[in-house]
Amino acid sequence: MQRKWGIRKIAEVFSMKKKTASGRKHDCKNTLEKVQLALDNELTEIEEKQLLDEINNCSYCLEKYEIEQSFKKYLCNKVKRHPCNPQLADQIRNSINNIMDR
Amino acid sequence: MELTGTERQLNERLFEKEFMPHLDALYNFAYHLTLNEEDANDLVQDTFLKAFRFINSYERGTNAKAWLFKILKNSFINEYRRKTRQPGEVDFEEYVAFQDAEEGTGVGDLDMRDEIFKGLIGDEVTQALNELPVDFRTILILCDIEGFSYEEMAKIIDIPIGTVRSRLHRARNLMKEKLRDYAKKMGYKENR
Ligand SMILES: [Zn+2]
Repeated sequence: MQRKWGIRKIAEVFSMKKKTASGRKHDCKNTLEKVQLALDNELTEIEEKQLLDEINNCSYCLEKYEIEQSFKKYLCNKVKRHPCNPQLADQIRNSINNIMDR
Repeated sequence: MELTGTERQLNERLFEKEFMPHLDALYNFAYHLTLNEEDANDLVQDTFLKAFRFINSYERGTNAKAWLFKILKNSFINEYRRKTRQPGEVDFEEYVAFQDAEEGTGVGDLDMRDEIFKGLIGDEVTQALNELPVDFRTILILCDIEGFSYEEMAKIIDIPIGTVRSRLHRARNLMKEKLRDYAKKMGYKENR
């Protein structure tokens, strides 16, 4: 009995989270599939605006969006390009001059 | 190469203006593919020599960076991959089955704004990236470090756009798992 109540309670909390400002339940899965596209700049301006409007009306989607966004920024900021040997550019130019002079 | 003086000068200018500015990005890509400096140097030299040989098939004004990345990626597959393949490294396809089974472990909820992740230094994050199978680190570098579009990545890697999407999704999940493992070593506790 105790356990049953627990599950129901969890389900309730979960569905509450997924309610939009207007009170209807939000189709989070469908929205979240577009988050990666938005963050990778693969949506048109209009699509992106629509998505952001939806996300801003659902706290669950907004949280997921912010988590994904922080991950993408994290990689950009932390992973640095491995520095290239400063002589490489001239080595390349020399090899090309050699081909042309042959 | 039999070229007139003018043709030669024009090719050299095109090369300097459109190709050489991408040297650092190409070298970084080569390094993440081969994971050693000597092979990365050879791979980049090879790429620029091929680019010069086929300079007439490059359409001026189109995306030189994507074109060069594609040449580099092909050279890597054809000439270096076998040589630099690490013991225990698995194919992308082998990984898919594993990853599909792992989907829904909640790793997607990992929040990089957590202090422990802020504390990881760039070298540690780069190391975690380099531990991913080559197809996954490739797509993350192309997308998140170099900023290529899905369409450009599809051309560079020679896969459909749908595969770009799913591979990116999986690569990000794997990367999060790696970072979570690093963080755990530093005492990170999951509150789930
Ligand atoms: Zn939602």
